[in-house]
Order: sequence, then C-alpha cells, then structure tokens
Amino acid sequence: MRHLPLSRGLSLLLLPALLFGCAPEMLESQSTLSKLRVLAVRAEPPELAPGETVQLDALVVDPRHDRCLDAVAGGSGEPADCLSPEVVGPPTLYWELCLFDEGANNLYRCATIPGLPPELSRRDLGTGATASIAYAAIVPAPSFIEQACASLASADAPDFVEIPSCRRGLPVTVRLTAIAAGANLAARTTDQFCLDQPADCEIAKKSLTLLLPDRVAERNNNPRIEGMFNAGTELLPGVASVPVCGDGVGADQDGAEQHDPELVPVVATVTVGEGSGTSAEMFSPEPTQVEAAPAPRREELDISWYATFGSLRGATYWGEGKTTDDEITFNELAFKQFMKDSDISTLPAGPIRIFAVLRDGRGGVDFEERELSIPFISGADDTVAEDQKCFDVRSVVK
Amino acid sequence: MRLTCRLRLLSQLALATLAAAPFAAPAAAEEPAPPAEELIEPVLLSNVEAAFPPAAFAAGLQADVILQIDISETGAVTNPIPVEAAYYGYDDKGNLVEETAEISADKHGFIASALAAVTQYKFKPAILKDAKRPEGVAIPVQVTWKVGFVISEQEIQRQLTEKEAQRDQAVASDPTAPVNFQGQLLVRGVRDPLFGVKIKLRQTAPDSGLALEVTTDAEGRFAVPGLKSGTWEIKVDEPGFRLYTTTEKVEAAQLTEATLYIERTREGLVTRTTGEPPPKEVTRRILTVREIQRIPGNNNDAIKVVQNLPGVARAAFGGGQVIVRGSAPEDTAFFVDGMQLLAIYHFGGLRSVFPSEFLSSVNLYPGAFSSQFGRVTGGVIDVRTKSERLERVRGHADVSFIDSSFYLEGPIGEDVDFQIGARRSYIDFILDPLSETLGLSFTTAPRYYDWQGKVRWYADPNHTASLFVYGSDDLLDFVREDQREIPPDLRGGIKISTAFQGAIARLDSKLAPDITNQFQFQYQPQQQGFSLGEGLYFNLNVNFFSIRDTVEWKASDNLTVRGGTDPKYFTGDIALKLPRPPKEGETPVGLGNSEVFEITETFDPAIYNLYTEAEWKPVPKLLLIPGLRYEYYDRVDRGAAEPRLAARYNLTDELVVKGAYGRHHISPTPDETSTTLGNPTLNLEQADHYVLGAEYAFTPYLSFTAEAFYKDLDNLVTRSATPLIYDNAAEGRIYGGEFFLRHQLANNFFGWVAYTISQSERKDRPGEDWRLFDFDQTHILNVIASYDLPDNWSVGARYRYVTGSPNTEIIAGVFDSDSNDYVRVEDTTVNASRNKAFQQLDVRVDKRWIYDTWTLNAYLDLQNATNYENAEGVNYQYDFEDSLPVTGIPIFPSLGIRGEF
Repeated sequence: MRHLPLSRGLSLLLLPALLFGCAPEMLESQSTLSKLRVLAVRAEPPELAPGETVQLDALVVDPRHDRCLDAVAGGSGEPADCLSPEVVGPPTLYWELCLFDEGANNLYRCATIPGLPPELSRRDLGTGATASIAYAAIVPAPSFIEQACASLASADAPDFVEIPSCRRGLPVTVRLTAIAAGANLAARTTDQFCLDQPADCEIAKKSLTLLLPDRVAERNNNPRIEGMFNAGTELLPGVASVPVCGDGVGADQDGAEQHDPELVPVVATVTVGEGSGTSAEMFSPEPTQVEAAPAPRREELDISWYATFGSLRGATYWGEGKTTDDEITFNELAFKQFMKDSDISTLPAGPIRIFAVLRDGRGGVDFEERELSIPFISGADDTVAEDQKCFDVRSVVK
Repeated sequence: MRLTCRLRLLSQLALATLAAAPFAAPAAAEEPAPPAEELIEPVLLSNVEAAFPPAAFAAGLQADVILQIDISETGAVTNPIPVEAAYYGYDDKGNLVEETAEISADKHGFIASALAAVTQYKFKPAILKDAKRPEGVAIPVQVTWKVGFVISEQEIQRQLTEKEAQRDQAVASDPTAPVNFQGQLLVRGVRDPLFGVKIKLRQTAPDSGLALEVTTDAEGRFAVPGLKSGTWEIKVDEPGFRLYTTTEKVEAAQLTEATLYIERTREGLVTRTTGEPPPKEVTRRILTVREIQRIPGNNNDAIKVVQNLPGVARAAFGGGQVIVRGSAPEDTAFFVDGMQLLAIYHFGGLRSVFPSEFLSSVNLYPGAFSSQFGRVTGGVIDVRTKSERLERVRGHADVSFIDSSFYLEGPIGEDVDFQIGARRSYIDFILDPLSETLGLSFTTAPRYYDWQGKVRWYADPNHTASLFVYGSDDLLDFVREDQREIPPDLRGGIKISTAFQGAIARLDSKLAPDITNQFQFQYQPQQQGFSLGEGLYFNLNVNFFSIRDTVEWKASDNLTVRGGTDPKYFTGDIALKLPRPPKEGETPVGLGNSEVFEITETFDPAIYNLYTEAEWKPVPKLLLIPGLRYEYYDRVDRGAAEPRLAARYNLTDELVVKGAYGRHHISPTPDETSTTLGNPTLNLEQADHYVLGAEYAFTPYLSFTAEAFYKDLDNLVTRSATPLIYDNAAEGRIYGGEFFLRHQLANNFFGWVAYTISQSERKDRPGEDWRLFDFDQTHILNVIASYDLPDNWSVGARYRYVTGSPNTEIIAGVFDSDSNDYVRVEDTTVNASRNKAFQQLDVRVDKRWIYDTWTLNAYLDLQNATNYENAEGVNYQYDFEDSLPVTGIPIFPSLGIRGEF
C-alpha cells in the first residue's frame, strides 16, 4: 500500500527556505505598481437575480501613464519615456462574458459546450470602461441553468471545463482583457498580444453567479469602503493632500498603536457589524460532506493595498468580524530608499496614488483610490524634523 | 617443514657376479678377438620418497642408509639388504654431531623406511652388449644404493631457534607451576580480541636474557605458568599493527594481569564482510556499514548513501525521496529485516531513521527483485539489522551540527544480547534564537528523534527469538509573527508531523537439518499530520499489523526452495480539508485557486499474498531463481499474479552474466481510491521489469558492473474526465543503463564511480504523446573516494552531476479577481523544460584519536565545497512574469565528534 506523500511533500517545500533562507526575495511585491495592472473587477450586484442587469467596472492602473502625466505637467522627468504610445493614454478594456470558461491554461477563454447554443457561450460586452448585461440575456429560459449544468456533466464535455456547483445558480465567467493605450496588436489576437507583451496587457477573470429564483433571498452584496483617512483626516477623492507622518491611527497585531514617524499611516474605513450597510454579512455556507448543515457565519473581509510609489507594510490583510480601525484596515507607506542625490530626480513629480480593494470572499468587491502629495526630502536623520521623517528618501548616506 | 629424501647411486656396478657370466665363454686363440662386452647401467625410472621418521625429523636427525639391491631384467627391485647407516644432526648450539649405529638395531627407523621405499622403485634394466648380442640384452644386476634423509637448511635453522626458545622458556617459566602472568590482547580503540597472535616476553631486570613466547586464544587471552620474577618486556609485532612494547613487573607467587591494546596501522588493511550470502538477485547493491559511514555529505548515515548508487535519481534538496530507475518515489518501499516501514528518512531526508551502528548492511534492489517483496513497482531498500551474535559491550556517542545520538550493544548473560540507540536533532535549539530574524515564532522548530531497541534470545541451537522496537517522530510547528497577511482560515501557523512506532517479534527456527522457518510479526502505529492554520489540515492515523513467515528447504546442494506469506492488515482514519493534491506531471496551484475538499473516512483494508521461489543450480556455473507471487488487495478488490525469474551465469571466475524479469503491482494511493476524492474502482498499477547485465571482478575488491534495464508500466493512475476523477489510462516506459565501478575497502581506499543514463517517460492518456516523467534525469554521475592516511587521518570526496529535472514552463499569469491571485498559464507540453544541471563537490576529513578502550573521531564534512549555486526550484513573481531560482545549500561545513568504545 502506498502512502500519501502529502505532508512530506509540503515539508520539502518549507524546509529549505526555513533552514537556509535560500528563497530569493528580489521579486516585485504584488502591492507595487510598476506596469499595467488589473487590481479588481467589480460586479454590481455581485450575484445576479432574475430580472436584473449587472454593471461591471474594474480598477485598472498603468503607473507609466501617471509618470508621463507628471512629466508633462511638471516639465520635469524624462519625456522620452512617454513617447511610447502604450503609456500616453488610459488602457483599453475588452469585456466578455463566458457561460463556461476553458480554464487557466487556455487563458479562461469562453468554452463551447455541446448541447448548448453557441451564441450563448460567449457574449461580447464591448470595450468601455464599464459594461453591463441583463440576466435575461444570459438565461433565455428558467430551465436553462439546469440544462447548462447537466450538459457539463455529459461525456462530450471538454475535460478542461470544471463542473461548477450549481446549487445556488450558475456561475459564469466575466473575462476582462486590459491592453495599454496605443498598443499595436499587429494582426494578433488580444490573447496572443498578452502572451507576447505581458507588460502591456493583463487578462483578468471574475465569477458571477446567476442565482436560481429560489435562492435570491440569500444573495450576496458588495462590501463598501466608506472612506480613507490619514492621521484622522479624511483623504478625499481627487484631492492630493500632503499626509501627516506616522502619528496616525493604527495598531499592530497586538493592538498597540503605531507611531512610526518614518511611515505614512493610511486607513480604509469599513463598516463591520449587524444591520444594513454592513460589509461583512452573515451567510449560510454550502453543505459539505463533513458538515451537512453548516451554521451561518460572517464573511471574511480582506483588504489589498497598492501604491504607485513607495512600499506598503503588507499587500493584503485579512480579518473576520473586525472593527473599522483594527489592523486589517490599517496600512503604512514607506518611501525611504537610500537614494543617491543623483537619483532624486527620478522621484514622482506629481502625486502618488494609493488603492484599497475590499473583498468579502464571496465575489463581493469594492475599491477606492486616493492621491497623496509627498514632499520628498533627503538628508541625514538628525537634520530632518520629526514630522517630516516619512518624506525622507535618504536618511542614511555614507 | 617439507620432508626431503634423496636417493643417490654411490658406486658403479660391481660386475663380478654378473649373471651373464655363463655366456662369456673364453674364445679360441686363433679366432680374432671378439669385441669387448659393453654393460649399460640400469636407469631409475620412478622412485618413491622414503618417509622421514617423524621422531627423527622432530629431533633434527638426518641419515644416509646404504643398501644393496638386486635389479631384475624387468627393472624391479628385489632383495634389498642394508649395508651401512650413518646418522648426523646438530646439537643445541648448532654443532654437527655424527653417530654410527648397528644396522640391525635400526635405531631411528631410517632403514625400514629406506627398504620400504626402494622396493617400489622401477628401473630401466641393465643392458649387456657383446659380439653375439650387439643389440644388447637385459640382465639382472646387483648394485649398492644410498638413500639419504636430509632436512632443509631453513628447517634446521627453525628447529634450532625453537630449541633455543624452548630452552629459554623452560628456564623462564615452569609449566608445572600455577599461572602467575595472564592477560588479553585487544585491538586498541575497539577492543576486538586478537586470536593466534604471538606475544614475546623477555626478562629485562635482571637482564638474564630469558625469553619466551605465548600465543593468544580465540578470545585474545594468554597465560604463563610459573614466570620467573622480574621485569619483563612484552612485545607484539603483528603485521597490520603498530609494534607494541611494554613492561610488566612479575612476582613468582603473585598473579599479574595485563590487558594489551595494539593499534592497527591503517584501518583500511581490514575489510569487514557482512556475512551476507552470495548474490542471488540479479541487481543487488550491498553496502557495508563501516565502508560508507565516512562518505562525504552523508553525516555518517549509512542509509543516505543509497542515493549515491547507480539507478537512484537525485531528489531536490530537502526532498528525501528515493527515486529508483525512473519510478515515482512512492513506488519504492522501505523495509527493515523484510518488514515494511512508513519512512526511512526524517524531515527532508536530513537523516535516516536508524543509526548506522544498528545495521549490518543496506540493500538496494532497483528492479526485478525477489518474489519475497511485493506491493512495489519501483525499488526496494531493505536495511538489515545486525545478525551476528553480540559478544562484547560496545557503543558510541555522536555529536554533530544537527543532532546527537548514542548507541549501545552487548551480551546479557550467555544466551541474550541487546542493542539500543536513540537520536535527537537540535535544529530547533539553533533556530529558536533566530526566530525573530526569520519573522517566525516556533512552537516547535524542526526537530526529529528516533529510538531503537532489540533483544535476542538464543534459546537453543535451533531457535532464536528477538524483539525489535523502534520509533521515529518528526515535528515542525511554527507561526508567522505577522498574522495580518494570512487569511483567517490559515492563521495559527503551520504544523507538520510524521511519527511511527513499531515492534517486530521474530522467531528463527531450524525445523530439520535442511529446513528453516523465519516468522515475524509487526505492529506499527503511525501518524501523519499537516495543518495550515485551522483552515487546511490532513491527519492520517494508521495501525499496521503485518506478518511474514518464510520456510526454506535446502533440498540439495543445487536446490533451495522457499515459500511464505506476508499479509498486512491496517486500520485507520483520515481527516482532511485540502485542495486536491497535484499528480505527477502537474504543477501545484495556489491555495486561493483550488477547490478545497473536506473528508473524514475510516478504513480497514487488508492485503493477502503467497510467494515462492527456488534457487536452482542445474549446472555449477548457472543459478536460476524462478519465483511467483500472488497478491490480493481487498480495498480495490483486485488480485494479481507476479512471475519472476532471475539468472546468473559464471562465464569465468571473474565474469558473470545475468538477466532477470519480474512483474510487479502496486495499489493506487489512498486519495486516488477515496470515495470522495478519487475513484474506488481503480485497478492495480503494473510494472514489468527487464534487466540484462554483467559483472567483472578485476580483483577481490575491484569490480565493474554494467546493466541495461527496461520497465514497462501499465494501468497507471491518471486524471480522467469527470466524474471518475481518476482512471488507469496512463502508461510509462523507462529504459537506461547503469555502470558501477567499485573499489571496496582495501589498501586504505574505497570508492566508486556510479553512472546512470536513462529516460523515463509517461503517456497520460491513449493517443497523447510521450512526455518526460517529473523525476527523469538523463545523466546521474556519482564519484566517491575515501583514503586512509597515516596517523589516523582520512580524507574523502564526493562529486555529483545530475541532469536537471524536467519542469513545465509557466508562460503567463491570469488575474483571478475573486481570489486576488494570479493563476499560472502553463506550456501545453508537460515537462518540456529542464532545470539547470546539478553538480556538487563534498569533502570530508576525519581524524581519529585511538585510546586503549575507546576512540575519538572528529570530522569536518564540507558540503558544496565549491559553493556552486544549484537551482533546486523556481520562485515566481506574483504574476509569473518574472522568476528567480531557489538555490540549494551554499557551502556548508558540518563539524562533528564521535566517541566509540
């Protein structure tokens, strides 16, 4: 009898890194924005009931575009960097809706399933910043969901299409392809372009559940970020404010307040609790083999943070039933890079952007963006005022 | 002393009494003178050496015996008559002494011996030619013949020396007196007794010149009765050992005891044999424990050395997997004395679970092995605990960079012996202080321990019983200090544990002169666990019950038949909440992108089997081993017959050709046959092994082996179209060659060159193309050398070169907005790329300090001495657009000390 080599296999992965620290740490963090990125795809509502229309939008960022705008506006920077047509404008978004997709190795392309009308397999939702589609346009008849799920289980179904759980409804795939402005596809498909030039293209997918009529009451709602703050002061959309260095609100994992003057504290406020407007809703999980009737529980929120400059303390924080000012909503930005004087000119001339994406673990999502105007300085520690330390990019020069 | 005896013809023939005289009538005067008669002497054609009288020989007495003999016309000797005898010898001082004795007395037996010999002589008769008979005629003659009894000069000298020693000894000691000086001669450091060694004693105070010599018995003991009082110099001058000299003061009426420890000049002069029978498997690599403990990079671990043998691929650093001839790691099984083990290595292959001292040998069977082994389609590693009777207390304590251990063995009374050992790592003690730097909080940093105990009872000449208990426990439990970046379900840290405990009771019986039976019963509870926070976990608890009974009948010198069974029954439970584990050929996906399965199951499967095999020598140079095994697995309700055949033919004393075929089966893994995660109707996987090769022995310690192998794999489990999840549609093929040049421990050197070239391929579904197996490694080269230098230094080196393992290239990442993860997009051809080739040089230096009753060994084991950066894996950026290699260990020195007694 062979043994299941599972835990041993896991240990193999962990031990070398633990013992010898050989795993490289020079790769870019997910929270660092340096190229075209899709940070989130949002559906409103996140689960679609009969008779409704879903609105789709996405948080797509190309920081190269920001830098060119800064260069043009400030008259500084490197205009040559901005001659590339890919970064002079906002990216183009290609929206699709797939009844079923072909899986990761096929870039989540829409799958054609025997027994289902081909025209229903893929819907082109256009190339705008947003897209929308009605429930009825996807589900032509009430029995369609059952028919679609059954057809997947047939022997003719392609192997690479996973059979979804159809208990609550039919999960379909929203596919978004973001391509940098002015990209030259040169007779290539968008998929091929993405494989060839990954820095100028990103493919994203999101699952959207088309609810069965009898499950509409259990529908999920998007969570909501109510505001973003720095040191108790709200950061307003579209307004680039100079933040206050690290005496802001925040706490470490043990609950102690953070007071690091070399960091910029930021908080995304989220309402967590009972009643309307809560972001962490109660829900009833699907039964499993082990738990036939799981008890209702609260959603597990997580917040992912991104910045166009500087490094964040953490990329994504998770929490369950946390309050608005606890650690999952709190993050800190650091700019210190130990730069040489000659490198100072590479600092952003305009405001930097920070993003927070809130997810509820069930497809619900919200995101916010704010701008911070950072008056970068450099100098030795003893020459920088306490309230300016978070703007210092070169506190140690030797 | 070889007796020499010479015959010497002393005189010319006396013709006065020739029997031919009547024919020699005087001729008439007027007639011309007839031609003179011509007599041709008889010629000795064959002789028989006269027996040297033993008493005379021992006394150093020699002799010349003069005989008168008649030689007939047919050449036969008749009527021998002694004429004279002269004796001579040497006195104690070497002076020649002569003696003449009466013939009739035959004082020393020389005459009788001479007479007995000459009567067996055969001569060419004497020939008489004359005018009438010019062609000549055979005639009887009488001659005088001398038989000499001569002792060689060397023997004479030896006898003189012996006489001198006896004279001295007689003076130096009194054989009739009580023993007043005794002792034991042992090997310094290890206390092995030395048998048959001469110990020379010479009285130095007073300087009388008295000397004597004693010889040690089987236990190395010696005793001298009535040794004269005084100070005696004791000298042992034995080949392979340093000259040993000491002095002892002896009193005539008082017993003086001495234990003498003599030191081997170089350990390499002695090769310990394992006591294993001659090879019957076509491919069986036997490693003697002593030989391999000092191989660099293995930290004195005998079992780890298996990974340097031909046919064994290299697992990634920390893998601890054993990949034999292109088979999956889980297709190779580990046994101790024929009973199966959960694992042979601790965490990541850092250590094996048995100390080397517990073992007598480590056997690797890479393919087409005996029908005694089943449920395996890859290879077998069977470690053998010591089988020889333990007659002395021995032990060791070992302290190294990563762990410490102790071991003790010895007799308990007349009929019982024991072995105990234990080991514990202290990586946790080292890592704990570093936890803050690592950003980790350890509940238990990586630690392992193992323990063993064995008691044997030699009940009577026909029965030996033993009880062997053992255990192993590995645990890693840590928490990342900053929990905010960990999903709530996964918070609480990572815990990995593997533990097993076991007991094997064994009874060896001799049922009849030609029939033996070996019965073993094993009980082995084992636990495996993994948890990632509270969200993902895997817990497996199994209680194994196993029996092995083998009856062997030695029907004749040319035929041995054995048969038996080793059924297993195990009961246990499994609880898991995990993504479906990746199969071979698949790359693991991130947790956020995987469907998580949660199951709890209990199980109680059984495996039944019968096996038989014969060792048959139809002609002296040919050994045939036909075998058959039948196995039934009740979990999948499948059974299979497994024919085996192996043959060895000794073309010459040095050259053996060999071949083998074997069919093997293995059951799918538990997750594959799970009613929740897999397909309970799966069939057994099957492998047909073919081996052809030759062995050539240049010298008793230098040999070369070449083998070609082919494995045909069928019914391999693979992913299938839903809803079956798995089926048996995959197949595999593995082919290659192994070359093994081995210099066993001799002349202060041991080492080997092991090279394997192979290709291992799989076809996941009918109609698909063949692809490389995950662990395919085209070239595997291991070069090992160790040399013993003077003054108890030794140096060794190991060099390894291995083709990089295949991997499937990740060509892009797709962002999954729901999980905030990127999902990898893989190349459509599985395992089309390879990691960079692995190469590493390890160096080891040992220094031993040998004291009378124990030995201290210090060693420096320098792994990756050239600090070569080997890529053990790839670390991808979050979106798979960039990657960096995960490198293996940098240059890594490991210091250790070890005391043995």
